[in-house]
Amino acid sequence: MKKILGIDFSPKAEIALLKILGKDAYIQYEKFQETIRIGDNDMVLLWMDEDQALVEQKIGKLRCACNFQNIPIIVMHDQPRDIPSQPYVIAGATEVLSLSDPAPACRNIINGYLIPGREPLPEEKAYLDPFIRNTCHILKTMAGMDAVFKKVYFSNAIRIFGDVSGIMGLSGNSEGTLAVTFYWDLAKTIIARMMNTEEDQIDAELIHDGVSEIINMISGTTKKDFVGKPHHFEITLPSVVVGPGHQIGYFQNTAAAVLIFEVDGQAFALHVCIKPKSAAA
Amino acid sequence: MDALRYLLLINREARFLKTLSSSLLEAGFPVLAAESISDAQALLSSQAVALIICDTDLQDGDGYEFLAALKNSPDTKNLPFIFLVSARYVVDSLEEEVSKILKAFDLGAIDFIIDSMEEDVSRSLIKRLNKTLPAGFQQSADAPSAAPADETPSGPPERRDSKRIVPGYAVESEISRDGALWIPGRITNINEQGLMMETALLGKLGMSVYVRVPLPGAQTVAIRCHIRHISIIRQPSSAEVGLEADDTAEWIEIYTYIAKLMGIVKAAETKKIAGGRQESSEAPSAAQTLSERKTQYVYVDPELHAADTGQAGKALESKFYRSLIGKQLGNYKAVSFIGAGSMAGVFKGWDVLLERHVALKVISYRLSAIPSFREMFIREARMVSRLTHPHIAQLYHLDQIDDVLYLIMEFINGGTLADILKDRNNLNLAKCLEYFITTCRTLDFVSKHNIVHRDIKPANIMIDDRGVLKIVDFGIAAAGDETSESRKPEGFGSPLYASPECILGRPLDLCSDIYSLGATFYHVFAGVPPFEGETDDIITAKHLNEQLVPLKKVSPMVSGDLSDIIGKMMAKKPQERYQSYRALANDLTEVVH
Amino acid sequence: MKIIVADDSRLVRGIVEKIVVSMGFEAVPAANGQEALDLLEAGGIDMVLLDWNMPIMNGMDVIKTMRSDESFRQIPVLMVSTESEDERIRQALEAGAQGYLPKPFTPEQLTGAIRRVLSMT
Repeated sequence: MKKILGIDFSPKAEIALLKILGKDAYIQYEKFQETIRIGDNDMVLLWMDEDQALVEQKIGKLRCACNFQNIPIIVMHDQPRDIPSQPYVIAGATEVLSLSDPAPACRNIINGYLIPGREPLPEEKAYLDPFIRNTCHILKTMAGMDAVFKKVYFSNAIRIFGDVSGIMGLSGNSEGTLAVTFYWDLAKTIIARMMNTEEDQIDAELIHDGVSEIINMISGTTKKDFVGKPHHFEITLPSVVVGPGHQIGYFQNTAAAVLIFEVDGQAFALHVCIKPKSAAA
Repeated sequence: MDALRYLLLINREARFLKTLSSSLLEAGFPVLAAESISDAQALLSSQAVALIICDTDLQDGDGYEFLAALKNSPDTKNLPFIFLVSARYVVDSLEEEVSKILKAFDLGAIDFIIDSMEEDVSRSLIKRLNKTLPAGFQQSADAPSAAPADETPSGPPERRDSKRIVPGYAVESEISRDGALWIPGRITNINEQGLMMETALLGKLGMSVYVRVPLPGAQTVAIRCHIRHISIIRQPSSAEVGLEADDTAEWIEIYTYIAKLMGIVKAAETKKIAGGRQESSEAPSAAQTLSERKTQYVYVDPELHAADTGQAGKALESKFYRSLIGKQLGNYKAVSFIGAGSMAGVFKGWDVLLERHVALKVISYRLSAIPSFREMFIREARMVSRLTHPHIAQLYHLDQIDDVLYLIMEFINGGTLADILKDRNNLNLAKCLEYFITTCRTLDFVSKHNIVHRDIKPANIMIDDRGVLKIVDFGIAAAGDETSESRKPEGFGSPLYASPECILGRPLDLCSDIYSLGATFYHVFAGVPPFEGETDDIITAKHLNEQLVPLKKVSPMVSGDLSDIIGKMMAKKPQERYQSYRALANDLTEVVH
Repeated sequence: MKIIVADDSRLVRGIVEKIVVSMGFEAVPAANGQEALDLLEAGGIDMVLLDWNMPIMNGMDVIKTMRSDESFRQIPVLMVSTESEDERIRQALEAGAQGYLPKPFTPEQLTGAIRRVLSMT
């Protein structure tokens, strides 16, 4: 049984949702709180308030509470028209649905997101393993920290929801993008450990250099593992971006893998989207 | 232009202000923005305002009171005033709404526009403004540096001090560290040396970056800059960077355009500066270097955009297919999304038991929710699964999870004829003729099983990586055809290749497939579809009524015989077309020899 | 002993400088290749630690300039880079670097590499 967390639903909206999803759906309703926990829920449905900025803040908090896990956050409203979903998606929502959309559409979309994610194919595992190994090795070597790979999920594009991310464009035999993304606290901890200094010594420039160096090292070392293989790539200059909601590239017929790691009880994600040029669709 | 007069936008939502300002700006209207009545009053006293566009509810008061106050002052009583209200906030009953609108007009408003979210409100507003404002009020967005110094002011004469400040808007542009990955940025200020930009790119002092700006005429110009200043303005999401630009012709072009747009300098001055600097500029062009790089963008999913621009049904379909990305349906993994047609979304799939790639075709929820469709679909699929032919994509499996109905088909590693058509340099006449004959013979085989494809088009003819042709999508179209719900708005596949009887919703036989096959290969040989038009209705009307331009006329290198064959295949009346594939194949073989 | 630490990243300079100092040497920071060359011109340098990718002048160009200049020819260079493919290492050594250390590295690995390069000269 899939567990859904319904947040800020009015009794009227609860009834409308029940009509769409049927009686079998297991939804636990709560009011939004700053310290909200997602727990073992498989999905979050958030009822949209009038105030857009407030909704965006709530989405940001919920996305952060998901700690990089692939938990869909679906924003629902009862406004008669399809309102622009872009601001909510940038804030971290997965989808925006209206109760005035046809019920089969809402039901199918919600159920679609509840279908379990797939495991990597053998060929995907083969090219993801070096990234996993090298990411852990880099943190161990440079910061003396033990990162553990937790999980992978797949998406159609790289969409970043952390506070600070390092992005590397790939070219050559394979094309694509790598992006590592952290929340501030973990980025600061790692960089302070790399420099063997206190976290309060870490300024914006060091965050920039640190995140940029981490994505540089992940790409540089993994590139070596791919010499002579179809996934071999060349790297460019890393870009560091702040804030959530960036979507990078959109490679048709290619899946972006999101590798989730944990270090010191905090998670970070490495997005890997790589497509050998020789491979056809 | 000394006579520059602004539109004053007043709305309590900063985001709304920004979006609308940039649309109006693009359309050539100089804009000032205020979130409250007090801000608006400050702007009114320092700037020349030609028209006010205002919400009813404001941060520090009520739009009606503000309008009444303006009408009471001799300085502002003649200022045109338009209410622009978001439908989200119109929660009144119809009577209340009407009484508010009447009140607005009583007070002297010239219009009351409700932003219904249905369409881009800026468009309706611009239309309205064009009617309200004197001709020539818009700045020429197309030719920013063209205004001569002594141009006669087209609007009413300047009333107040002509000193300029940077108005409350910013110019959308992009910034990149490597010339490949572009991140959105907003130019907030500019001078001759460089610019200030709000962006999520966290650079560092001295770092070299590229900036590109869309200039009028769909031309984007890129320049190289160095970061000279960084400040975090909205932690943690964006920074403001000060950029010093390399002194190049492209920079002068960008500076001239933006400076004028922002009203920082007069047109004549920008011209002078541009001319002066242009002579000394010999630096290499960043635009030139960048044009060779493969670019990527940081942006928002195009499908999201589709969801925001109407076409609600299609947007919901996209949302549905998107929910299945990275999932596993039964024993099949959805590896990556390939595309969506009117009936189904197609994924590259992986069969976990047989360990092979498959095509995973998820049927549209709209159709699979209709019981009669499901029955028809399953019946058709059964028939198609019995077709075993080297040029037909094999149907392996049919299943459903909850409401999700899906097909598993042979995965074809290759491209469609539609992909090949995009790059005509790869087209080889003899090869195309071979594809034509193969398709024809395959459809002959199929017709013997009493199956009509009903959606023959370039996108349904695939060529695998070994050069083998495969026809895909049998049966799906056929089942869809039987369901009234599926007939509109996209009951038949592409109108570009649809037969007249298909357009008219009549029963279809092999003659309809022959027409579509003719239209498909007309497109292949001519490089253009047989009938074109801006809308589906125009195209279908042409299929029904317009005489076909003979292929030979469009593509003189094609033989007269081939042109005649396609002409006969595309006869308006089914009975005037080929009545069997055998006869058609025979005629085609003659052309080859 | 005075060692130039050339890297455009303040973070990497910080890490490397600490290790160099812990070895009892003096570290002189340079944010790009040109700054490294300027420091060499000023004299008194015993070794250069060079990043490969740097703005204004990259590490390879620094090595090439040093090797073509009589006064710097003998100063040992250790290249430190994330590019760790054999081909890259070969290019750096051929251009005149005495050692090549791929990132990531532990303090022990950097100390060892610096000692090795110094013992070669």
